[in-house]
Amino acid sequence: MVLGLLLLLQAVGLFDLGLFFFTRGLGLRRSLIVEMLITEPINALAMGIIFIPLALLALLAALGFFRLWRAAWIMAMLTQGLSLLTALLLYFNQRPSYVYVIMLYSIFLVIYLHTAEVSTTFEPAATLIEEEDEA
Amino acid sequence: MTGSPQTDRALLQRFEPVLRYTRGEQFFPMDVAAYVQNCSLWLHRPEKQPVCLVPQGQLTLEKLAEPRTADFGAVYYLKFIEPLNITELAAYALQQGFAHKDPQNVFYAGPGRLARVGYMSRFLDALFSLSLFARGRVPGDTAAAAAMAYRRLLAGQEQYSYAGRVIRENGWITLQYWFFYPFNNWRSGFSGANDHEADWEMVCLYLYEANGDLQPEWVAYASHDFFGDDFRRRWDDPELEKVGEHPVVYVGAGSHSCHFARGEYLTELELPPLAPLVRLVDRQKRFWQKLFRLDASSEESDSASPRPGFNIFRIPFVDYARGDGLAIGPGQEKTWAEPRLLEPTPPWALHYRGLWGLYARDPLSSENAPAGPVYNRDGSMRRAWYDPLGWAGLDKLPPPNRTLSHVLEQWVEVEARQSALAETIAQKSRDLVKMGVEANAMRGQAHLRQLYAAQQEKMEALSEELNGMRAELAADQALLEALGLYAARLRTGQRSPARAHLRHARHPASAARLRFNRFAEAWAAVSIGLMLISFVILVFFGQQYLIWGIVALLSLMIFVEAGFRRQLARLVTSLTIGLAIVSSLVIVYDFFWPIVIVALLLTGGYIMWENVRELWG
Repeated sequence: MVLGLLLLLQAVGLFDLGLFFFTRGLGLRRSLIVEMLITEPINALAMGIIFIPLALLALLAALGFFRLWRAAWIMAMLTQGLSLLTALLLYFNQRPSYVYVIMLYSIFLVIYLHTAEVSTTFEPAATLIEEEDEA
Repeated sequence: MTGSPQTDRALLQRFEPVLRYTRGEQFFPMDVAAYVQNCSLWLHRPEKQPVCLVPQGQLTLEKLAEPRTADFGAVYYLKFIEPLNITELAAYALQQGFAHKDPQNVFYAGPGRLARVGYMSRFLDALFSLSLFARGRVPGDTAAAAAMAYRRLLAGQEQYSYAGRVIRENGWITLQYWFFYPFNNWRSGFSGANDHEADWEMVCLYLYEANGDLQPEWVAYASHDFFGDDFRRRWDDPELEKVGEHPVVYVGAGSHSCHFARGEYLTELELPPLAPLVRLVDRQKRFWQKLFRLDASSEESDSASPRPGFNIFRIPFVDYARGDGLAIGPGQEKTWAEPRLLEPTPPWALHYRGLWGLYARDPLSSENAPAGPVYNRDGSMRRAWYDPLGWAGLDKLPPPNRTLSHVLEQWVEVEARQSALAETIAQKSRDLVKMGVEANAMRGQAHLRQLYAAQQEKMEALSEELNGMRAELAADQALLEALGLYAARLRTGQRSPARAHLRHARHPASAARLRFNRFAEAWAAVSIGLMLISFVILVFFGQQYLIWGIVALLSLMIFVEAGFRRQLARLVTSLTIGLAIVSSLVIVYDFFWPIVIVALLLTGGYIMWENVRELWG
């Protein structure tokens, strides 16, 4: 439940970021916040294209946790992996200030996803092959 | 209790194993005398040319046992094969061509052989194979020559032999069966790790006396220098196949390693130069497992069995132990000749510490021939020889007929220890009370200050000692209860589960693992080459994107590979953890002092909160 809410929050954040960049990329919005977020001119449309699917993935993972899907854990991990990858790529290129927030939030979620109570409930224990081998 | 050679021989024959080979196997256990007669004896001194001491045809077991001295670093070795000339090689190829028409003698690698091992491991495997050019190795035509020589020997006298030994120790009667093969063609014949002249393999049976007869209890099979509990099976273990009183051994094709069940085993071998990397990866895995409490059973095993879990720095090979070829043993297609006894240790086994085949000067030793049944390659004694019980992890177990008496003996011992301890505790308690009384009396007497301080110190020491003794008493009490329960179980004939001692037992690859589709097979065959070609294209045509290109290329390869192996989930997890670590380092690097300040503030706030909460109840 908590994880679902956290992922939902992440989805909202990522979607907001994506929407900002997307609308800016299309020339629909030139807000002060966007100017603050982008320290150097980058392809805003591309950023929007990256962040919006990430938000949708986070939303799907959140839904998975609410509905207790077994695949929710791996979806959440994938979301964190992709978020961290995007943040790191941005960090080594333009270093906008918001990447730190993305990093911190994802690191926190990675740790939370690996806590014993969460991982024992959701994490795929081993690959199918190994399970069959043990049998 | 000792046995005469006749009784030992009869005992060995009563339980002699049935060995089942894989189709395509070319070498079978033979008598050492016949082999030695066809060998020459050589001495290799460091930085000198090898010297032939006894030419082929003149060597006997007696001659082999003659005492010889040598400088440090010198190696005595036998040479079974002389390189083939071109005519002989052609004749062999022709002969092989005809032999391959016999379906009973053809080896098929089977589906999924290439795809069975990981991408990184295949890459390391390729490097390992290339390293053979730099390392010493058994020449390519030696396997062919050895096969020809062995066939000639078989044609002269078809005989399948083993050497045996009966050891009586700690109530166990150990039957050791040593199988000598003239050649190990695992690399050249079955895409394995090595080729070498001569090969010694061993099977151990552990018996005990019950109702005037001998009852087998455990069986241990040698496999690639591994040892310990995991290589032992109980006689009633369903995995252990038997033909009457004869255990069945599935022999690895070419390697001659012994297995309990038929199948194809993925064997991960560790190369000494890569050992630090292997440890590093294992340690890192254990760190994460402990950190996140992912696996409670991640303790170290004391056995030398291959560790569980995949490690990219171990090189995987497939050991084919299909059991679809020749079978040797009682009631089989071929039977055993009368065994050669190794007890008392014959001079040739005891005095000849050299190698039993070509010394290929391979620094990794995998292509050098092994020493005899008694010794390792470096001349030290084999554990399986001097400690057959410890080798199979049986040194800690009494035979079943003695278990109850051992338990009761232990019970009496613990009880006696407990009574003695209880008495000591009572005495020391009284002493402590006396000291306490004295200390109380000293209080308020200013002139006794020093004495009081010394008394306090003594009291603390005694109190601590008593605490330890009481803990020991409590532990002994629990142990006594456990021993009592165990004795009760034994009296009713209950036994522990047959596989309770196994921690990382080896299993043949499952049907699921072998079920690779054609696309996966093709991918496994071309992936390394494809990667190298793509790398060259990138270097020549996209130098400005080299780093990103390599990252993208490797990522693509790794993801495709993980997909085929159904390990995408694990890959995603590992990569995400890696990215989280990098991100953490970035944050710490950029905000070190703010992080320290925030951590201090949070710690201070937390301590304050805890204290205030305690104050207000």
